[in-house]
Amino acid sequence: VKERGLVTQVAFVSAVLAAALVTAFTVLLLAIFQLRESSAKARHAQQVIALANNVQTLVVDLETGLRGYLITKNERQLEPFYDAKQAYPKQLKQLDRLVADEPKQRPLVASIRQATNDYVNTYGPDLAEFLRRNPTLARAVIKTQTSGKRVTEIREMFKRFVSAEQAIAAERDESARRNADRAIGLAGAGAALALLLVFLFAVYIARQIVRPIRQTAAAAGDLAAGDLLSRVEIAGRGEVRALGESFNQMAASLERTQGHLEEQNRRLRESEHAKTELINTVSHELRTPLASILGFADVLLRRTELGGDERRFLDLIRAESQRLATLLNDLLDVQRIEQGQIDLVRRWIDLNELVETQVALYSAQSERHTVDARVPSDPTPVYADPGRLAQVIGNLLSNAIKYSPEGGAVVAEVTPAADFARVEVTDDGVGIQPEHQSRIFTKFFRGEAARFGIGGTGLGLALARQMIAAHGGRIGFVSDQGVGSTFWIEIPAAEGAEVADITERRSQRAGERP
Amino acid sequence: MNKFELQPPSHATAPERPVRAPPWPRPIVVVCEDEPALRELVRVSLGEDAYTFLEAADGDEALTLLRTYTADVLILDLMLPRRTGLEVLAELREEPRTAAVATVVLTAQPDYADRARELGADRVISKPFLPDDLAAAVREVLEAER
Repeated sequence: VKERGLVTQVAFVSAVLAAALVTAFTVLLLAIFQLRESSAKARHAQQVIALANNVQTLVVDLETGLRGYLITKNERQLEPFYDAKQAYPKQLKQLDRLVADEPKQRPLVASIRQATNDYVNTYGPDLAEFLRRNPTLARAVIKTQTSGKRVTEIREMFKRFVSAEQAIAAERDESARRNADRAIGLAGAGAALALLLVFLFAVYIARQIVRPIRQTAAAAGDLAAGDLLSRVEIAGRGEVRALGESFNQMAASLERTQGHLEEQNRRLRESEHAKTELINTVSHELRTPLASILGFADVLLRRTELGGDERRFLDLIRAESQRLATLLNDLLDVQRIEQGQIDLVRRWIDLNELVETQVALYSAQSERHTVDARVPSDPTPVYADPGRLAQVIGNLLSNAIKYSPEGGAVVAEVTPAADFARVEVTDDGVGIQPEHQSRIFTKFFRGEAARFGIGGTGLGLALARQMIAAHGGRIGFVSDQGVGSTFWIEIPAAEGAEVADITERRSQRAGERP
Repeated sequence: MNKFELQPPSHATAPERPVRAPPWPRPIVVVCEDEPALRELVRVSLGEDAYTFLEAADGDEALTLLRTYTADVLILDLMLPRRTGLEVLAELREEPRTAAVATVVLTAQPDYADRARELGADRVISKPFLPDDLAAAVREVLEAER
């Protein structure tokens, strides 16, 4: 069964909640409308009663006016009669309209109208005229209370009408009150239902979404902290469930990968260890026979009367043995540096002296090259391992000579600067091909040296770079193919507290001079 | 016998070599090296006639020689069968009779140079070496002893 998505679920639950709320409000609104209608009807009945009382007053006015006239014979006393006579039909009509929806009251209104009309027609202006002419008879009429009886009857009708209307009003009041109670009840129930739904919705969100996500977040935190066994309990639905499952898969995958990596790492370490062992063993095993070859060749060269070829061959044997020894040393150095085992024995030295010594050594190597040192007149103190630095500068000089096969000028120049000292070794040899320039510090990379018949191991510059880096310095070069190369190194000149020391040594040296 | 020893010593090609002749006794050098060719090279390098050589092919032989004779110099290889040169060095330093002997260590493993110095080696020379360098080292330690 395909799980519905989280968005769909939340939308669905929200829709249910909204529908429930709308229903509750609709019911409440209906109840309120009903209540208002009941109130309006109750008010309507009160209006009817008020109007009925009004009409009744008019009828009483008819009678009062007539009686007043009969007693006083003053025609002005008839004014209320005429006023009332004019007003009542309109008011009765209005009353009839008001009770249009009350079938029991309408006939009563009709009766009242009939009786009142009769009264007015019987005792109206004609009676006044009659009274003027026959006062005695008229008084008799009054005495017999004929008109009074009529009015009393009308008033009786009004009494019945009003009491019926009052009953209706009471009933409508009661109905309005019932409706109000019901509206209040419904509103309360609706509000309670809405609250319940909101609460249920919150519980749903917390259970299905918040709790699983919080657990996943905590597990992710553990995982990030390195606990690769961290897993979550699968809970919730849809995307939340998928999140938990994916998290567990990811954690399991990480754990597996970590395992693989550790295994691989272990193998690499083993293989690295084996390599180190091999290099150490080979180097050692080669050194003992090499010691015999070099040593005896040297002894022979010193002792024996040799022919030209024999001497040359022995020279070759000795030179090649020494080269082999250098190669073995370089190999061991590279390995030691790569394993961080190189220990620099640093002290304050004069870079000028060191460069001059190396230049003297290498200038003796080739008759076709001039090797010169350009150094400042003041000492150039650097804090360095003299043996290692000599090795590096010797390597640069040796390269400069090797890569100028036609001979030429090699210059080693020392330039002191504020916080470092610089040595530049410049030749006018073959230069370095542009496409090889990025790789010349790479171990065993020799470019086209082999093609030119230039010897070497491809370890010199790699070693030089690592030695200079170990000193906290920099190494670099500029080269134009066919024009020559300049290799430079920069060694930090002084650091912190040792500056004072060097100043002292400088003044001492200055003092030693004649 | 080695054929080189048949030839007369050529002082012309090794001018710095000290000429030691009676009545002074020649210094005694114990050569501890498992490789016979290298033992011979040591002898030839130092000059067969300048020293009295006592040869040992392993550490035990060397210790026996040192206990028996009052040697002036021990030339000690580090990679020896059974016990290493470093062990021999440590052991001879503990015995009063052998503790004072000047020692020149020959090693094919530059890594052990520092350890050898800590154990009291006076000079450490790495293999391969030039005969003159070894001869100079032996002369220096002898002069320092005197």
